[in-house]
Amino acid sequence: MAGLRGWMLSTDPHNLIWVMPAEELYKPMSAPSDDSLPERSRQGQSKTVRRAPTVSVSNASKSFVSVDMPPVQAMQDITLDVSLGEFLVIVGPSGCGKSTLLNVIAGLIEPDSGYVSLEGDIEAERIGRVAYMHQIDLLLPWRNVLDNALLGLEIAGVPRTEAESRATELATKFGVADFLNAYPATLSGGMRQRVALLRAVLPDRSVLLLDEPFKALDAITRAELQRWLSDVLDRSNRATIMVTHDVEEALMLGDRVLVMSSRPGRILLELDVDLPRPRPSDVVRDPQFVEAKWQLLSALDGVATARESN
Amino acid sequence: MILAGLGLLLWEILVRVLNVQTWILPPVSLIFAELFDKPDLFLRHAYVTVQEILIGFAVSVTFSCVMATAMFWSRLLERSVYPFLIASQTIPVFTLAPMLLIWIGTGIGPKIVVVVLFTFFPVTINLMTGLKSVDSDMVDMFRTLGASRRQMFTKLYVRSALPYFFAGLKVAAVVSVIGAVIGEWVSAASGLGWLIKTSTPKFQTELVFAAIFTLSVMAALMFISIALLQSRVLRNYPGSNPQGGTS
Repeated sequence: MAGLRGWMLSTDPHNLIWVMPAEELYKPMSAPSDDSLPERSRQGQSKTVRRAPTVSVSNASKSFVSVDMPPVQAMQDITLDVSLGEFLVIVGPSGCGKSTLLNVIAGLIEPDSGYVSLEGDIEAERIGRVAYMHQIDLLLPWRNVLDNALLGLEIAGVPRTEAESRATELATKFGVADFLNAYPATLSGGMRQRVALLRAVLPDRSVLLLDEPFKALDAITRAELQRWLSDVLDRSNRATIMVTHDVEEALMLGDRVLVMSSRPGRILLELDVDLPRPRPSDVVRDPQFVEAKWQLLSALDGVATARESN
Repeated sequence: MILAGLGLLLWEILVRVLNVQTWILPPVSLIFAELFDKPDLFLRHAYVTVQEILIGFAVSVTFSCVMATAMFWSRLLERSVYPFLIASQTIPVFTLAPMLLIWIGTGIGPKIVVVVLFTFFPVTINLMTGLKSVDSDMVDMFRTLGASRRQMFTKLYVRSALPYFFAGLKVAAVVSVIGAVIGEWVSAASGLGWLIKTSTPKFQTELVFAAIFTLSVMAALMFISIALLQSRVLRNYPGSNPQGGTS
C-alpha cells in the first residue's frame, strides 16, 4: 500500500512512470509539527508513515492567451504540498496569479504543464471535490440564508431534512443561526461572508480554498472575521489554502506561509509559523511574529523593487 | 392617474369650446355614455378579443420558453435559429395577415398567429439575454459545488433570467393587444378590432373611441397583472427589475 503512493511524472501527464515511494518523492517543504495539530488528526497517524499530501501541486504553470495581446504567464513552476490539518497561506502582490493557482487546484482550469493531485490521485476530476470560497460572497439573492447555505448539499442530493439539520447545527457555531430566514440583501458584508463560508464547508470536502475571503470588508470587520475564522474552522479534517495580500492576516491564521512573486507567479519564500493556536490579537507583539512579519515584508519588498526596476 | 384625468378634462373642454363635430372627435362624456349605453355589445366583442390575446400570449410564452431552453442547451441550434428570429421581425405582419387568412382560414386561428408573431419576439429575446447574462463567478461557484449542467440551469440560469423574462412579458402584454386588433382587421366577424373597422366608415366615432378605450384598458390590465406577478415572484431580487432587454 505504502509503495503505491508515489508517482514520478514525465512531461506528459498521461504517461506517468512509477519510481519511488511517496515519502522520498514528496519531501514536503515542511510539515507541521505534530503538536500543532489538533487531537483528532493525530489519531491514526503514526510517526513512521506520513500520509500523502491532500493537495499536491507539481511544477504547474499557466498562461492565458488572448487574441490581441501577448500571452500572459500567470504562474510558473508552482510546486506545493498541503496535508490534512494544515493551514497554508499564500501571500503575494495583486495580479501575481494567486487566484489562478486556486482555480487550478479547484479544477476550474487546467494547468498548461505540471499537475495537481488530490489525495494522491492525479487522474481524477477535481471539480466538485474542493470547497472554494471567493472574494465576493456570491450568495444567490433569491434564496434565504438557509437555502444559500444548503446549496452544496442540495446539489449533492442530500435529503432536505438531513441537509437542514446539518446546516442549522453549523450555523449556530458560525454565528448566523439568527439569520437563517433573512435574505442576503439585508445582511452586512461580514455576515454574508460567514454564510458563504458556511455554504463552502457544509459539503465536507477535504480541501478548502479561500480566495482573499475578507478583501471586500472594512478593517474592523476583517479583524473580527479573522478571529472568527480561526475559532470556527475545524482544521483537523481538511487541508486549507488561503490566498491573501495581507501579511498579518497570513501570520494570524497560517501554519505555513508562501510568498509568491508578481507575474509570472513563482514561490519565493516559505515560512513556518510556529506560534501556538489560537493566536490572540496581541500575538502581533510576539517577537517571533514580528520577525516573521519582517521576513515576509522584505520578501514582498523585493518583489516590489524588482517590479519597479522592470 | 391625475395627469390622465386632466388630459381627459382638457379634451372635453376643447371639444366643447371649439365646437368640434362629434363625428370628427366626440367629447369624452359621449364616449363614456356610449360605453355604458351598450355594455353587452362591448363585453361581447371584448370577450372575443380577450380570448385571442390570452391564447396567443400563452402560446407565445410557451414557445419562447421552449425555444430559449433549447438554444441554451445547443449552440448549434442557437446559431441556426437566431437569425430567423431576427428575420421574423423584419416581416411587416400587417401584410402577412391576409395570407394567414388564405392559409389558416377565418376562425380564431389567424388572430392567434398574429398575436404570437407580435409577442414571441420580445419574450424570447429577453429570456435569452437573461440566460446569457449570468455572472460567470456564479457559474464557477456552482461548478466547484459539483453542479451538473442541468442543476445549473434550474438553480442558477432560470432564476437569474427571471427579471429579464418579466421585462419581455410586459412588452409582450402591451403589443399582444395590437396583434389581436390587426388580426381582426383583416378578417373577422366579431371582436373589438372588427368593431372599430366596421364603425369607422359609418362615422360612429363615439363607438370607435369607446372600443379603443376598452382596448387600452385591456392592455393596461395585462400589464398590471404581469407587474403584480413580477413583484411577487421577484420580491427578493435586488433592485428587483433590470428593465433591460429589447422590445
